Amino acid sequence: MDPTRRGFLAGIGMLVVAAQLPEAHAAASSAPGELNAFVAIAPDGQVTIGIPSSEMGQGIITALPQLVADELDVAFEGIVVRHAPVEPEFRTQVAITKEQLTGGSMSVREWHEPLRHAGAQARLMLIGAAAKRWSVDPATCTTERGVVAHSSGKTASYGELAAEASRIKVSSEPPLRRPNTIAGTSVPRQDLLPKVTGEAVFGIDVRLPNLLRASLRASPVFGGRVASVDDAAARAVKGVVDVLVFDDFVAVVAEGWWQAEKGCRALQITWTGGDTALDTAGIEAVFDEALAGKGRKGHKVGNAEKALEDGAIEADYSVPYVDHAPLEPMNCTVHLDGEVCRIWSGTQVQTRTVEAAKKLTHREVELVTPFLGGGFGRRGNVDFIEQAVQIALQVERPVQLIWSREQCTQHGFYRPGAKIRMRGKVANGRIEALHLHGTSTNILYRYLPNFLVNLVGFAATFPLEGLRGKECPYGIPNHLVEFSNADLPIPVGFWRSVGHSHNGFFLESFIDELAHAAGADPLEFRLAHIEDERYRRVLETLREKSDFGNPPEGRFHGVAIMECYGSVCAEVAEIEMIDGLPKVHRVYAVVDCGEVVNPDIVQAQLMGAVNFGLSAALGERLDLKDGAVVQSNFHDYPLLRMVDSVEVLGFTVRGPDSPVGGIGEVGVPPLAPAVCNAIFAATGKRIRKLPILENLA
Amino acid sequence: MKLRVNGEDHEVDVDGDTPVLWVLRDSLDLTGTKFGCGIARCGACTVHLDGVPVRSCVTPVSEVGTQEIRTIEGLAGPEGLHPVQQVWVDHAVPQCGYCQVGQIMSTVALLKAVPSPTDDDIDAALSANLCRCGTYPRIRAAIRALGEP
Repeated sequence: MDPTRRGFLAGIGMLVVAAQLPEAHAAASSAPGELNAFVAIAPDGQVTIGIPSSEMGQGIITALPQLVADELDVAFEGIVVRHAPVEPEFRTQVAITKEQLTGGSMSVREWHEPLRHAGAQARLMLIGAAAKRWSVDPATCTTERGVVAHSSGKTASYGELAAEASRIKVSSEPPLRRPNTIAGTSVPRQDLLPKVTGEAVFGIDVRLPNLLRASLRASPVFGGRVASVDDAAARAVKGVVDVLVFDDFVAVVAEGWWQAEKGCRALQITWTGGDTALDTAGIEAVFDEALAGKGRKGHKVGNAEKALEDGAIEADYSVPYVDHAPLEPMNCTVHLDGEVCRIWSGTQVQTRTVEAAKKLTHREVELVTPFLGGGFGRRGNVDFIEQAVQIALQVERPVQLIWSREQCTQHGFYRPGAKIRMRGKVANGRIEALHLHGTSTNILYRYLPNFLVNLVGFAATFPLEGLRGKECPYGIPNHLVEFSNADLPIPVGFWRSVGHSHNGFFLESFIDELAHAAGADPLEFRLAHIEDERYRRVLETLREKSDFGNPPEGRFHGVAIMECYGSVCAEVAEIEMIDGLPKVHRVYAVVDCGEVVNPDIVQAQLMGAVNFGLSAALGERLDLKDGAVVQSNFHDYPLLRMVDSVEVLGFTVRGPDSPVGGIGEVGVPPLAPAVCNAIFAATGKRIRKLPILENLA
Repeated sequence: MKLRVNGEDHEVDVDGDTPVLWVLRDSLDLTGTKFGCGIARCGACTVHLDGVPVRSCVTPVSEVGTQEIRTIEGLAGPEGLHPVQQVWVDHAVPQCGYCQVGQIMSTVALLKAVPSPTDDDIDAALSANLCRCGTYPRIRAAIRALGEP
C-alpha cells in the first residue's frame, strides 16, 4: 500500500484489514510478537488481532476485536485485523465436528470468552515482561492503553515489551477485568472506509497476475448430468481459452468473465437424469402425503389429540422455498502454485473449504477469506469451491470462477418450503390444547450421516426448531409437536434463522388466531401463557415502546415473539392497508441478546434482519417446473426495494440471567407473523401462505 | 478503442458489445463497481456517463464514445472523501457493503439533480439499487442528512 494512502487511513483512524491484499495471509502469519493465537504486537506497538469469523455484514470484524482490545487495554484505533485466517485455535464444536465456521449467530456467543481471555492473557504477559525487566512484583504494575507502568514511575510500551512478553507463561484463562470501555460501546465499524471507497476486496475482486476467468452452466434439473456438449460456438468467442466438461456442469474459461459468460450462452448442452417431472404441485403432494402419516415427536405434554377430539380451530400454513440471494454471486479464485493450492473465496466455512480442496488436489491448501458480499448461510456450502478447484486442475493458470445470477438463483441451497397442520383449542381465555404437525426436507440430511440424524431425536426433528420444549415459551397443558420428513431432491441449506424463519410465522400466526378466538388482546394473551422472565420482559417492554393496540389513525398493529440462537426478540409491525396492499410503516423490535458488544451494530442488525424478513414475507418464492427452478434473476425473484423498506425502532433489554445471545438472525422470525397479524387486525383476512402479496394481489 | 475513465484516457482492446462493467473490472482492474445481476435490476454496477447514472452491466462499451465514465474510484478528491461517502461513514450505513458503491453513485447523481430530496424522491431514485442486508433506512437517513439546508 502506498505511504500516502496509509497516512490517509491512519488519519481517519480506520484499521487496515489484512485480507485486502491477496498475499496477506503469508505475510500476516509471520507477524512478530505473537503473544497467543489471537494477539500479536510489533516492536513499533502495532497491534494485530486475528478473528475466527467471516465478516458478511454482521459486524464481527469490529465486535470481536473490541472484546480483545477491552481486556488487552490498547487504543482501538489503528488495530490491524487478520480476517478469518485458517488456524486450528479458531475451530469450534459444531454438532459432531470441530471446525472453523461462521453461522448460527454464534460468533460473539462462541468467542466472547476466548477473545477476552486472549486479551487478558496478553496483557498479563506484557506486565510479566515489564515486572521481570524492573525486578518488581507484577501485582504492582498497571496498564494504560498500550503502556505498562510501575508506581515508581517506570513505564514501557507494549511494543517494547512484546518480544520478551511472548516468553512469559500466563494461564490461558486468566481472570477477566471486563472494563467495558471498548466492548459495550458503539465504536465505529472498522470496515466502513474501504466499503465506501470501493477498495474493500470481496472474493469477486481478487486479482492475480495471469488470471483466467470462468463461468459455467450446471444441470437445471437437480441430480442431472451432462449428456452431450456442442462447444463450437463457445470456442469461437474471442477470448475463450477452453471449454471444460464435467459430470454435472460445463465451464467456459476465458481471459475476461464477460467472454466466459458469452461462451456459456453459446453452449449447446443436452442433459440427462434427475427428476424432470418434479414441479410445485408435486412438492405440495409430497407435503400432504407426509402430513397424512404419523410424525416423529418433537414435544409432548399431556394429550393434545384427545383434548382436540371434540372440535378444534384448524389451519394449514405453508411457506415456499426461498433463496439467500446475497448480492455478490458465488465465486472462488484458485491458484495451483506448485505443492500448494491457494484459494480466495468469501466462505463461511474455512475448514470445509480447505478439506474439499485438499481432497481434490492432494495438495496443502492456503485459504484467504476476503469480505463476503452477503452470506446468510449460502456461503456455508462448498459447491462452487469444488467446481473452481476442478476447473483449476484442468488449466495452467490461476482461475476465478464467477456464477451468473441465474446460476445462483437456480442452484441454491434453499430455505426449504414447509407446511404445517395446526389444531388448537381455547377455553376461558387459555389455550387448552395445541397440536402441530410439520413437514419439510430436513436440512441436516445434507450435512450429517442419515443414521445419525434419524437416531438423535433433536436432529430428526430439527425442522421444528423454535417449537419444541424450552424453545417455545407458552405453557399449554396438552401440547404435541411432530415432524414428518419430505423426501425431495431439491438442495436445502441454512437460510438466515433457518427453521425459525417458517416456524415463527406458523406458531405466532396461529397463537394470534387462538387469541382472537378467545377474544383477547394478542399481546396480553401471550403474556398470560408465558412464565419465563426473559420473554415477559421483552414483551412488556415492547408493549410500552410500541404502545401496542393504539396505533395512529388508519394503522394497525400485529405482534410476534421468538427465541433463536440464545436471544429473544419480539416485534410489533405497524401497517396501513393502501389499495388492498399492506404498507409497513414501522417495526418496533425489542431484543434480549444478553451482553451487547456494540450497541450501534445491534441496532443495524435489527434493522437489517427486519428488512430481510420483510423481503421474504412480501414477495419471495421459488417454483419448480420440469424438475428445474423457474425463477432466475431479480426480475422474477423480487427482493425488497427502498420504496417498500421499513424503519425499525430497536431496543435492547437484558435480564440478570440473560445468556450472551446472537443478533444476526433473531430479528427475522417475528417479522412475517407480526405483519400478517397486523393485516388480520386491519382486514379480518388471515394470511396462511407466504408470500403475502400472492394472497392479496 | 479509447475510453476516458475518472479523468484518464485508457486504450482497451475489447469487442464493442462488452458491457462497460466488465471493461472496468477485467480490462482496467477497477473493481469498485460490482456485478450483481447482469440485467440492470440490482444497481450494483452503477457508474456515471457524463454525470448521468447508468447500469454498466447492460451498457455496451461501443455506446460510450467520448462520454466520460466516472466510477467510485474517481469520487473521492485529494482533500478526502466525497460528502456522500463521508455521510455514509457518519451514519454507519454499510453492512456487507457489496451494494454500497452503487448506492453511493446513485445518490451522488440524485443530489446533483435534487439537492434536498424528499422521501418520495429517494424512493424513486434509489429503488433501482438493491440491498440484501436491508440498510435502506440508514441510506435514507444519510441522504436526508446531506439534503438538509
